Amino acid sequence: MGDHTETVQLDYDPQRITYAQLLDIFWKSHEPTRRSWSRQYMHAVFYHNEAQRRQALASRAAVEQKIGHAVRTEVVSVRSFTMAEDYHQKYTLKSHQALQSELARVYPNPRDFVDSPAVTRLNGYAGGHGTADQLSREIDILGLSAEGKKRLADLVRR
Amino acid sequence: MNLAYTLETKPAEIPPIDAAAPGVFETASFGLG
Repeated sequence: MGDHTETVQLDYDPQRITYAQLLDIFWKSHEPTRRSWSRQYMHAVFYHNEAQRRQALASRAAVEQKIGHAVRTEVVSVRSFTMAEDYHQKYTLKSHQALQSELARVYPNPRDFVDSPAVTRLNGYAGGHGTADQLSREIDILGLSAEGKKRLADLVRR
Repeated sequence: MNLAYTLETKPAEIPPIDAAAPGVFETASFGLG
């Protein structure tokens, strides 16, 4: 350790969301003109291939032009990725024990639990992301019991 | 027969959203400071 950076790594379906859309969300999710505090907590896009590198650099240039200020967010090649410890994973969902335990029964192996799109969705809803409308369209495919569905719907409605 | 044990170890059903997930995911990584 020592020169590591905390990151999120996403596996996504390019038929449903593009890399350009992910970059757009990324630029809106941080203050790109601010200097990073440290290597551990730096703003960066880690590209996995040449196509990502080109898109990331182009999007950074576009942001720079739009805001009229130097962008300090770095675009660097990904080297290796180490999963954070289990207690960091799906952190928000863990404060909703009843919901978490329904999916933990489906995926007793922690890695399978972390990799599950259904668990990822639950974690997002638990964190206040996603609307009641979105949830109503997919609540039946998340692997929840009738009670779990009610619990989640109540949470999102709040 | 231990009925509770049998119930507890019954394989849970994989959520449809996971069963339908394609094997063509791509990966992206971001550091958000």
